[in-house]
Amino acid sequence: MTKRFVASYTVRGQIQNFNNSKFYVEILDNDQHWFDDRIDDLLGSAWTDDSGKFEVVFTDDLYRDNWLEGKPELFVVVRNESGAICYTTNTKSPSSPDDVENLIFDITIQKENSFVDSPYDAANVKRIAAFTRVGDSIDLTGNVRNSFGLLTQTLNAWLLYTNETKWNLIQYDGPQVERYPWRNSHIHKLKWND
Amino acid sequence: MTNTIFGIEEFEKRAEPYEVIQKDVIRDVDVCVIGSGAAGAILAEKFATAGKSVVLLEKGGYYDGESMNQRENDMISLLWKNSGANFTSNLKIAIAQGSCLGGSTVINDAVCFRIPELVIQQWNNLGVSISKEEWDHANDEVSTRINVTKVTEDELNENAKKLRKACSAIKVNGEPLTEHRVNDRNCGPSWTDPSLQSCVQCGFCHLGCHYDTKQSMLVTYIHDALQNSSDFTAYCNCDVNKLVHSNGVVTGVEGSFVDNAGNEKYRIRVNAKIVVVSAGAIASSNLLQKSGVANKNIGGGLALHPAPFVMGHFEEKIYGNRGIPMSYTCHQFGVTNNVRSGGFLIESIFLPIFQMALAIPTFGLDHARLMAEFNNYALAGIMVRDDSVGKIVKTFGDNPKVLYELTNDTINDMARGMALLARMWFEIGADYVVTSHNDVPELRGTWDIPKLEKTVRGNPDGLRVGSAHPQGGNRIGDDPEKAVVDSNCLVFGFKNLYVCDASVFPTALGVNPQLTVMALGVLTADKILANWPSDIAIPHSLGNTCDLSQTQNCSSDTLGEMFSVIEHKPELFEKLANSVSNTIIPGDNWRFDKNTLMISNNLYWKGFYGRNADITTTGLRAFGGFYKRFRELNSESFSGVTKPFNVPVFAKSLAKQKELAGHGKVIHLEYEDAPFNQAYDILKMVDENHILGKAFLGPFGRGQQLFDFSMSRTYPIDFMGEDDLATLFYNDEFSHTPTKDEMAGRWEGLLVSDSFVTPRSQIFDFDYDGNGEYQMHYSFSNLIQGYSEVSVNEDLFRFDDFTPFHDELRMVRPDFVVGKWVTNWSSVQSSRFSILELENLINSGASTIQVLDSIYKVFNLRIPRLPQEIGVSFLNVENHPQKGSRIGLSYILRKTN
Repeated sequence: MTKRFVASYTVRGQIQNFNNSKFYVEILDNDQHWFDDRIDDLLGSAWTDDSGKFEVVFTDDLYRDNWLEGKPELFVVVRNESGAICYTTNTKSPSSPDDVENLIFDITIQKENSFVDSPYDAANVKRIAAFTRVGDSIDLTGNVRNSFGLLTQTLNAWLLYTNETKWNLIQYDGPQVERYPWRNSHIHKLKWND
Repeated sequence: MTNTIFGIEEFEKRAEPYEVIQKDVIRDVDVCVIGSGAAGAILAEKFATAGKSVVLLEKGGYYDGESMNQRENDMISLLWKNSGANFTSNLKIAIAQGSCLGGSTVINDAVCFRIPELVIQQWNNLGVSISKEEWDHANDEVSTRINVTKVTEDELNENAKKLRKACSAIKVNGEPLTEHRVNDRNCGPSWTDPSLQSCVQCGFCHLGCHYDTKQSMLVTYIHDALQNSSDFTAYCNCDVNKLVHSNGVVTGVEGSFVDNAGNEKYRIRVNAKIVVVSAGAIASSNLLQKSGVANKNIGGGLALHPAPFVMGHFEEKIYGNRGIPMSYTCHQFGVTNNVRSGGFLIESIFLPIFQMALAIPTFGLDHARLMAEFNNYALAGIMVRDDSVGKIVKTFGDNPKVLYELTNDTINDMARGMALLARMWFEIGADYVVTSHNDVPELRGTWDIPKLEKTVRGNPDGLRVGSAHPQGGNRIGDDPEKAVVDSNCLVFGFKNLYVCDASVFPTALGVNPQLTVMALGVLTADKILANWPSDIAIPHSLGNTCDLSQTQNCSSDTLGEMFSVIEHKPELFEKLANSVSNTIIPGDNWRFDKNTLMISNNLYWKGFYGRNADITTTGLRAFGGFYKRFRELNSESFSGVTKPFNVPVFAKSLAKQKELAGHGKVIHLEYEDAPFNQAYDILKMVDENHILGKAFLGPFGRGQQLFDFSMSRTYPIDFMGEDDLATLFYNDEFSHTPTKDEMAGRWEGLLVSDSFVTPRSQIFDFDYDGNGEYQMHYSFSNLIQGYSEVSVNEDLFRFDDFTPFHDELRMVRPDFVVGKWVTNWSSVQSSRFSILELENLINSGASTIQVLDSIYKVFNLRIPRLPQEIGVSFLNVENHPQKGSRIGLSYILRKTN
């Protein structure tokens, strides 16, 4: 019986980040193709050294789930010291263990890589959460007329008077800054002083 | 990392150093301050700049000036407590409080009044030992820092000028008003925009100051602490759940970082020498109540400064929203003019449009008509110095419930004030007046004013009343029988717990309170620093945070993350085996530490899923609990069995150490028999008593991951099983039959199953009634309530309810009891009753109760006898040598007060 030659790949790289942390890297093979089992194979892992460099060696039998899998399709998952994932690279497909270019993953983790969020987008979620919390703190069976009146007026006020069209009708000055002030440079001057 | 603000939300950038929380937090510090408002921020800053390590916990988020976009729809949700949905329990009064870094000082109108001399005297008479000189010194210090200055003439907007004109024009009892003047307020140079040296006068104070000219705690003391100290950290989005304490010492503060929907994402445990609660009136009382601080005065004596309003409509445009909202006040009828009891201030104020729409008490077309005149109104509020008659109680859900009714005196003050203000508006030419009473929303002339007064007195429920100054609930004083804190704000009965905010006010202040609260913060901080305790040593504790030594507190994601980066310790493999005996032998394979309430159980490795609150994981925890037992075969392998607690399934396995790509050396748990052999586990032993694991489906090394789990041989009582409880219950070494007096008080109960311990499901109150009879009141999830009959002898503390079941209790510690709710379970099918006999009973015209009773007996016959191993989670069957066969529930009780 012919023994199949097992190829050994060496993945190298360096992680540069804004606060020189230590990272744990995992090398995986993408198995999301139609002929694959949809379970990415974990091929190896390592901690970065003091300069952020890492090296992981794996053999091709670890990723060959079936005969259709030729080249590995590698990607790197970077975890912080607690194990939380903080970066995932795109895939690279080295044609052979000598295809060094596709076996090097140099990664830069910016502080601003964590995405941006608008604080206002969550306003409705917060409102709903707040009203559900109110639940056992109020006695709805008390003055039903007042409670109902309060609810309807609140809805009315929210629907009509948080609306810029209505503000214009009333000639209400309204806010003096953009909705997303930090996105657009602006001067701190009131419109009615123009 | 210190000198940073931490929070849950992710933003582009923030003015101060800010990081996103990514895991549970454990801190050991000198001081933990809860609440970042008028007092909390000052306390935190003073401790930090004095060289103490400080953690500041804030329930709300961190939003800097640039985030404050002056839109009510956006900012009220971000900055106001409960997104503005903050009411008394009867919904009669809306309470405005801030919930953000900086607290209410971020959303208030920047009015600064010193505590009136009369109030200082009144408080002295009530046992508050703070002198005028002390108040003056503290007020001076704060006023300098937050740049308290008088509103200037050119800063008065048209709304304020209208009030001034009205005060000057009106006569009361033939005499002009003399006590009205511009306010002091805390506005000054912006640290983010050096071109701004004072208030921009935008009128959006309630929505936060975009320009950072309002000298709130955010841009003053918190900013100072971040800049000028060496170990100060602020944690936002942090809901403090409880203070952990024993024998008068707070040993820890436990909280949750919550997302926008209120779901817990991470936890925090702070171990601090000094803990200061400055969460504001209502929340501070609620925290003490939740934490079981035993003082009957907590929650009592709440005042609100209830404030109705009256608006005058004028032909000319006023544009009341333009300019400083609150800049002028009439003190004639208030405590600042030596009115000893009650009284009110008339304060200029204007509201942004949404709040105005809420305040005007009409509907439909009338409402639209009045709102269309928005720019033609002059508005002022009647801020009444009310009696401290309110009360804060804790609900079953641990929320604060504010019980408050207006007293006759307060209603009279409101009526007087509103009538006067209406007259004032008419006096200076208003063509009509709008009030905040549902039944009299408009006055067309002075002839309508008596109707207003009469209506306010006759139907105070019709008033739209707001409150921006809740005070009281943790009263300050020198008598522990009447107060909660002493004059140093130290909680009676504690060595290291302080409360310092408006909740300590023994009466309503009568003026806007922020400066007084700040001054109190200064006084309290100075006193604590001057008498810094040297005899308090707080042990490091992980609390209920996630850690390798207590993996049952970790979320599923965290278990997976930890698994990735933690190495298996091969040298521990030999310790995988459990005890040979599969019954509990106390002192041998099972131990209990009464001090730490920790169980060490080597019968098996108890399995734990993540702590996540989603339905799937909760279901797994509740009904899918399991254990694994191991026996050594040789030095390289162990035989094992995996068993779910609630079904008679025994999955045999073989455990061996193997290398696995990407994981290094792991323990491979290979299941032997079908169908379990389609799956496998990989385990990492992290220490002698803790294992991290992953379950897979498929061939070894290539399987599909199913879930993460952990296993432990030590766990706290909050994770105990039925056998653990039974051991505590039936063993005199661990528990005794309590006396009635020992049980007196309130206890919160949690049901115990092998799989898990529920959140609080019942509350029991044991006490003597007015006739000296001992009684027990129960409440199950706030749905079922009633009384049980208690009988106690030296062997048994028992109480019976209307069901065939009864409860038995055993006390482990004065604050911890184990209990059973049981009934006898017969294994013998009785043949004494049958369906035929039931038919005869019905045909003979037996009473309903007789028929129901017989149906019960028949039904009982029909239940097959279950083997002891099978049970719906929580329901267990026991065979006791003396007590016989019994079925029922097990639970633990923890004393709350």
